[in-house]
Amino acid sequence: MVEIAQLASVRHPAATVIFLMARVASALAATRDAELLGRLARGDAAALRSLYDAQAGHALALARRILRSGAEAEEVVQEAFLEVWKRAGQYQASRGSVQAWLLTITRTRAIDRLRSRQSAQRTADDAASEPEPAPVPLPLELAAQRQDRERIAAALQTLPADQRAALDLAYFEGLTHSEIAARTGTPLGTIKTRIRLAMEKLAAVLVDEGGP
Amino acid sequence: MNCAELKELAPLYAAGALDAQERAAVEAHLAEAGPHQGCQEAMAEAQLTAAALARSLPPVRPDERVWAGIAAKLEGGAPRARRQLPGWLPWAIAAAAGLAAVVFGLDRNRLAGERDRSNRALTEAQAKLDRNQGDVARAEAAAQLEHARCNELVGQARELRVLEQQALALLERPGTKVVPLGPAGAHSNRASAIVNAELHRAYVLATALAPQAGKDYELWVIHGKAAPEPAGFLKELGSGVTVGEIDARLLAATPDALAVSLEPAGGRPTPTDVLMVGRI
Repeated sequence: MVEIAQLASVRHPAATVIFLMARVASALAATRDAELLGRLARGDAAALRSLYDAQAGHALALARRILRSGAEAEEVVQEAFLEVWKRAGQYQASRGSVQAWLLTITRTRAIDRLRSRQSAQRTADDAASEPEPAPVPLPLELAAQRQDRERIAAALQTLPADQRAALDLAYFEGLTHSEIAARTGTPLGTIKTRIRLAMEKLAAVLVDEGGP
Repeated sequence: MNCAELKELAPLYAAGALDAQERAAVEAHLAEAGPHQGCQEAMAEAQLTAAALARSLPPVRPDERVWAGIAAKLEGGAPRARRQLPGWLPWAIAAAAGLAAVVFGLDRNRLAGERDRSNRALTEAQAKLDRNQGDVARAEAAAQLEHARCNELVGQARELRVLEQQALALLERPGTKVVPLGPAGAHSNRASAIVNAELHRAYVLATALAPQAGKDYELWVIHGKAAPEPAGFLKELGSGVTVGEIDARLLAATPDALAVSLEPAGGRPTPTDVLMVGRI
């Protein structure tokens, strides 16, 4: 564990404290993740409920953003948590946090549905015809979570518009780099570069401000 | 695919921008026994960044049916989120009403019997209705309590943010020292104090102090051989880090040491379970 006392010998103590806090928080989160996944792998349903309480709000927001359908998004969230339940034993902490894993599963399932919907030639108008429910803030969403969201939003604002647009089309609309290139009439290499730079810059800004 | 190529593609993979063939190639490389040159780390960082994209959206509270759908598919069942209000009440009332309708046209004795049974059913339904109203009242009271608690938490979070910023600002002031607090007795906890004797201000920052139900982490100031004086409490910053401000009145004279102890909620006049001590 990093000792905050180490900052006594450095030149920029405030920045170091923030950096150390981020590392400490990250280490603690990893410990909690490992413990939670251990319980899930042993079939502890209460652990799944804990994960659900902490993360279902994020998962549902993501699924709804991708699908623009409240009912389908709820189904995706159910599928995602059940997949976590079934695959908890296969989780590898070295590949990312439990939150990142869950949200990756949620996104993948939502994008699969989006593509399936498109391949079935349901028009976008059909999807849009279902009124999108207004976001309902979690009653216990703490100020810290709101700060986290505002921090990420501010980091996104630092990206050039073309990089952010490419990232949005990939992550939220489920388009591959080739599809984005075709849709926007931009060379494929440029799209790849924009997405890579956007991700790298976002990571750098978030780490500077206390970790993603 | 080699490790350098994977690290190049990791951000695109996490952003979901790769086509199926490229995704499969990335996953195949990650599954290889290795040795790898930072592949897992690059992928973990990219996935964390992608998760931040999802967290940029305001979270949405799922309807309770979402968890109910999950719980129904878990082997061996799962705990319920919260107590549901009774769903049988309309059925009970409908059953009582149906019973009352059936009695019409029957003979007098049978009619009387049916009437009695009907009355009993209605009485039971009324009693259940009363209980249900009690449940609703309790649910409303719980919701109000939750609302108040939410406001309290938001207030606490603001207060902590201010505390954190003050502690960091103190670090920049001339004459500020960082004092390590080492474990006392059989404990293994550690913390650091940010102390500025001239300004009579000090903060204690600790990591990995898990909140304990019914307990508080209490701060102490020690002058010479005098008894330790209670100087405040550590508060959770929300990221596993706790911070507390030493009562400035106790810093008029530079203390010899600071300490942290674990006490019953609200603290004690003298420390009972000292976790850490640091000499200034």
